Amino acid sequence: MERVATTPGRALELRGLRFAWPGQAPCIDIPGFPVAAGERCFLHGPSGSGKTTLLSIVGGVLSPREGRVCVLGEDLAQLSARARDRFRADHIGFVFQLFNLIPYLSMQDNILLACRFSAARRKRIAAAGSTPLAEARRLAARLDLPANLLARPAMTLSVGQQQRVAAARALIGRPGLIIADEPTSALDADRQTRFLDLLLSECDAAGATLLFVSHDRRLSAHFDRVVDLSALNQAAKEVAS
Amino acid sequence: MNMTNALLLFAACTSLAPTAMAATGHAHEHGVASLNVARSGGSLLIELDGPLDNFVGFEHAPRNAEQKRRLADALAILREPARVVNLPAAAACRLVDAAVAEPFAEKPGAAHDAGDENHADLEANWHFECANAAALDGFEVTLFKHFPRLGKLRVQVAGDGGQSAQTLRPASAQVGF
Amino acid sequence: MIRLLPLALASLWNRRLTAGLTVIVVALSVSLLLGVERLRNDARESFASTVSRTDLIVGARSGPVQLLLYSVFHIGDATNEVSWPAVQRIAARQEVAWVVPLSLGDSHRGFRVVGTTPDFFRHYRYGDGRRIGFAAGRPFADVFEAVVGAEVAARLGYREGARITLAHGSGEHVAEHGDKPFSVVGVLAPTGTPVDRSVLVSLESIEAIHLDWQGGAPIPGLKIAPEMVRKFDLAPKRVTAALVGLENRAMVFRLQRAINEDTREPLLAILPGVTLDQLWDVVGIGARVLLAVSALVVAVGLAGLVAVMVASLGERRRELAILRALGAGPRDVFFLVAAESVLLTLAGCVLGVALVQVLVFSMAAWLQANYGLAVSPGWPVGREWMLLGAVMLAGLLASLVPALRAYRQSLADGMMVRM
Repeated sequence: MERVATTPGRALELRGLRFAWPGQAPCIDIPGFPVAAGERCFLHGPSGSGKTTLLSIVGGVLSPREGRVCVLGEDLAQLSARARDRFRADHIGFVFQLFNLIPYLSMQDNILLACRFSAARRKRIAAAGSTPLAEARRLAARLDLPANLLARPAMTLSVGQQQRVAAARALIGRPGLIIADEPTSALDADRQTRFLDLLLSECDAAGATLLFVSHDRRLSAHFDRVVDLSALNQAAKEVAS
Repeated sequence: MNMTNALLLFAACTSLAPTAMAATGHAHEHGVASLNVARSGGSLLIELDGPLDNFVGFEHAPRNAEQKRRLADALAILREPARVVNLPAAAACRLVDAAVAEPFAEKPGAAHDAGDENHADLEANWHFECANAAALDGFEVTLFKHFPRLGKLRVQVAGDGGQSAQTLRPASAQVGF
Repeated sequence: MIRLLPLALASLWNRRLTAGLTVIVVALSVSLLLGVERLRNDARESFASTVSRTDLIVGARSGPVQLLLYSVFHIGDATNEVSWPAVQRIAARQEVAWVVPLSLGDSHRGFRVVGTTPDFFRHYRYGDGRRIGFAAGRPFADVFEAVVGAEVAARLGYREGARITLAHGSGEHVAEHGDKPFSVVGVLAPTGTPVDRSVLVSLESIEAIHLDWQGGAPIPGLKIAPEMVRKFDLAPKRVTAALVGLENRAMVFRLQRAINEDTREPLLAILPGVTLDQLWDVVGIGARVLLAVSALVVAVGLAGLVAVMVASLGERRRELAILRALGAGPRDVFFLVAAESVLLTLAGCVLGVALVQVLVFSMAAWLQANYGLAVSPGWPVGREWMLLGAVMLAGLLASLVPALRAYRQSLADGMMVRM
């Protein structure tokens, strides 16, 4: 299951991807979109560009009607719903705009939650000679989260702290792909930059591919490659025109 | 919660309950017969009492050859205890005495309820002595097999281990001590 | 999936107020169910163990259950009595081993007075054939001597040598036999039967206190001093009932028939164990109805649990979406919500069992005193485990409702909730 190491080529590849909600016109129509392993890709997606649906497809929550969705060399369309859930748990880390955490769990338990659903993440941590708890604490420290907050319930943390906890949870156990969906839009400008720096450096350290989705083009300077989702998605164009 | 009042209520209702019949004799209820089982050590007394209808299908003096034959058949079965009860072999019981009151017999006073044109009862009793009383933990009543009109036996059991009221049916015909 | 259990617990703890209230509702309904079952069982057992080794009870002709209740359980009153010669005739039969006459009708501060003979202490058996023991003193031997049951002694603080007066009748309209005091000569050990709540005196004593009475009231102008009573004939004229023991139990039905068919006096002989079973056939219907109602109350409690769980799903959409993003499948969400419901049911059952213990423990003395029911605290037994199992099964089925709803909700929501 170690696709990270054995697939040096593409972290993500969409080809001929089409998706429509039942009884509606297609909202996703992407002829081709490759992301190289280790790449930091900025996906510019204003609202209405089909962003949420696309991320659900890449995450394996939705299944496309047509086309290939290859994540880390695995064609998700070939997998059962259960296997896609398992794949998401093992290989993809998500960070959303807001409300990433289970409010009543502590910071530490929120980070560890990713390991609860994935044996592969626990195995990778063990292979690196660590334990989930030690790894959670290490990531927290790397992301500027003070150790004295580890036991605090998530709902008592500031928004900035919450986003960094979400990042730590996405990164724990070294998944191959990190998908960040507007992770900084709830933060002020100063914190946006700091959060981005931390996220980028931790993705580098983990060797993870980063797919960063945002409507805010100012952040795109930090990335290897910038892609416009409305250009990529033929369906969005039709809607727009 | 008020058990006392509940009991009193039921006590007041006893005239409706079948238990009241014990005072005046027995209920004449077709399909049902009563069986008394008394036991002391190896002595076992069994008394059967019930509407004649259960055993022969009529309750008057036999009027034709067919009815005479049925009555004679029924009495023959009852005189043979092996066809009435199935005692555990290990108890080594032997019949000491058996008496079957013959309805409509000519002897005055011997026949019970024979004078009643509509109702007649059949009574029988058996006395066993069992060499191995310890093995006598219960027995099966096999009457139901011979008398399909008999649907229910109300059993009163009195023994060294205590007393109990039991109800037997063709599907569950085991008396327990 | 077992890895979700800590999450279910943490989630329940987060909603501890509603979860706690739900548990209490389930616990109350479970304790009602178990309480009824315990009472049903213990009542039957305590009644069954009140009289043993008595082959027949003889009284005036009435209903068998009525005779059983007033003679042994002191519930209700006799409408008629048995003449002393009739008792003597029964005692004289060769198959009869012993006869213990009972004369009821008087009371002492709410406790029944039982006139009997010293044979009572020799032949009365309870439980699995246990004899009555004396905590102190001896049986009565003379007129105006009394033996008190354990509870009478405990509640009224009587010891040997205490002086007591008896009253005519029982209940509200009592007239004191104040001129003829008794002395307590013996205190009985506890038996868990109505004997504990009895004051036992000799039949002669009963005659003696009624010498100057007629028709339930003192004869005006007639006063017979206690020291004078011995000059009178104190042989009993009538008794309320008699307990009969046989030489050979196999003869019990023949003797019963002989007594019931005696033309000299309308008598009724019953087999107490048989009559008790027959009584229970009738009481059992009421008890079963009560149990069915309790089962319905449990169903109401579980319906409340389902309502609380379903209502919580709306505010937990984000929480469940986060779990989906972390790789939880709709099945995991189903299991999580089902596990929470089952945990609530389980907690309700555990608390319900504890509640029954507390209730039984705190009410045992009161039930014993007022209704003669010996209920005992203790772990659930036999059928109570079956009932608990049935409640858990019902809880499991009920948990499917919120779990299925959560399953469908998380299928529709996916990782992101559009709110």
